[in-house]
Amino acid sequence: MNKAPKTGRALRILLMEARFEILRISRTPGLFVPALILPLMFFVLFGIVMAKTNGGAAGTRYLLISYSSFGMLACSLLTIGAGVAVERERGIHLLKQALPMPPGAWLGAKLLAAALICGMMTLLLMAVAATAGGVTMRAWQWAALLAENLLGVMPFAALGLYLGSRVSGSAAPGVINLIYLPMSLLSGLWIPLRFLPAPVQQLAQLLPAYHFVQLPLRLIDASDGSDPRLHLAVLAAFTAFFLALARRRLGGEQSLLPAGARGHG
Amino acid sequence: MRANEVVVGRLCGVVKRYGAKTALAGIDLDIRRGEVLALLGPNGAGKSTAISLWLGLGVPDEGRAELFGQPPRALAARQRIGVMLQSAALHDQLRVGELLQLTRSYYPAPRGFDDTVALAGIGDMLRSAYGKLSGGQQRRVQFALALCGNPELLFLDEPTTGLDLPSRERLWSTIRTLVAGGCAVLLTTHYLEEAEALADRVTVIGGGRVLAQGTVDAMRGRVAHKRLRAMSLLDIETVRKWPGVTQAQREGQWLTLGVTEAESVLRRWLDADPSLRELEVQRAGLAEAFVEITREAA
Repeated sequence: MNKAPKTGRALRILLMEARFEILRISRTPGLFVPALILPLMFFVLFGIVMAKTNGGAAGTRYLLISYSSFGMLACSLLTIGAGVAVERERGIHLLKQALPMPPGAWLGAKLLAAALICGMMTLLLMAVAATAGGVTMRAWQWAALLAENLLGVMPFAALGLYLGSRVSGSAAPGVINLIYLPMSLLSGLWIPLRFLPAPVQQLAQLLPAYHFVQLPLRLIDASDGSDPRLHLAVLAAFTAFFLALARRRLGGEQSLLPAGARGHG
Repeated sequence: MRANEVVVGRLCGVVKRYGAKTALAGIDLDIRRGEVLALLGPNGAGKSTAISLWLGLGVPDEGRAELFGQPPRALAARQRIGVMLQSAALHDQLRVGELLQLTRSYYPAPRGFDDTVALAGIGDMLRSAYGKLSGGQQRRVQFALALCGNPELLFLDEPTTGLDLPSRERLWSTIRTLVAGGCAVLLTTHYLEEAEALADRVTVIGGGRVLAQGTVDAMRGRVAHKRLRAMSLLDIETVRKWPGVTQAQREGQWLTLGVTEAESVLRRWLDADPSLRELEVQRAGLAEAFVEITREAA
């Protein structure tokens, strides 16, 4: 067998896996609807209804960017983190490892599904911003915002993988909410950082969401002027770190028994 | 060379420790084309560990696990196996037909979709969400996924737990069909009659070691016991003292004896009780053999 059909087959499996991952998520509305709707609600309230007190058109534009980052966090963490936690807890992950699924199809499908939901959320937000919000940007700015949001899935998917490898399926949504909601606030995704106390502004430097949002904010010249290479480096390191942790927990020794009963079978 | 072609799976001197506990203390097992090997053992014997190493879910501390002469993690090796795990579930939200479609896609030359559905008897649930099915129905779906890849080696871990009798017999007959086509099956089960009905060879493991292996008949033969049962009025305490009687039990008019020498006990019993009726003589089954083998080891 030569290499081309093998690659083609692996790609087909990846797409099939992604298709069913998306189907599965679409049948769990409790998980993705809040991730889709929450940023939109925030944007409509603070960016459109209260636009006057929030800096007018420039404020609305700023909030479009920051709430789309917030939504991206929610989409990546909730779909991937909660999904992995359930798969691990119920032994689905174990079975997949025993089956001849090509390496990469599992993770690739999860990333594609998260990116799709994140893309939907971003497009929804952009549509409301362009119509009801009256936000005007050049075509390349709209396109770049969507692209950056899609790429932003990577670091938070890595964190989601790791969280999913640690917490139980039922605890996952709660734990994830406890992580990404405060992180969003402290990274300036809800309220611009300059309106927050100085200690919070300093703390933000440690949070990946802060480093992410600075990148799309540059599209409208609203970043805090920090070096984008620093943000990219931090995000890359963050991704690599959590991918490695998750890989150790998900890819290592698997037991056919619940963790507590290990070695008794 | 020829032997290598026939052996489809092999564990060679496999040792596995979890911390201070030794789960497998040097196990040699092989399974050949077209045979059903039943792996039996009490809880904690090491069955699950053996299977997980064979599936490449863990790595032996010593020795090696092989599928078709390759390490189990090799994709090419796993494309030739089918797996039904006791401890593994599937996504509740996906429909049975979708799960089958997805699992078939992993295999380069899968069994036909309709063929798989018919073999596993899941035609009536294709559009149902997996989570809505009963435990027995879910087991049948898992079985369908195990055989959908047209495997040469099937791992069936407690396949009939939760199945009603007709479903169990249907699954047995499907397994026999697959085996007749050359498929090898590694079976673990708590139902010894299942091993008795399906297995060509039985391996009993306990404490991480192989305690006994051989054909089902050879296993039965390890236990000299026979069982005598008849309607008899004899006093149970008297019978118990006869040489060759290892146990005696009364249920109403029925007296059941476990004996080592059936002929001599029988002669004596017939002499002592002229009114004896409905006499039955039975060989010990796999169940008795299993109890004996694991007790000897303990």
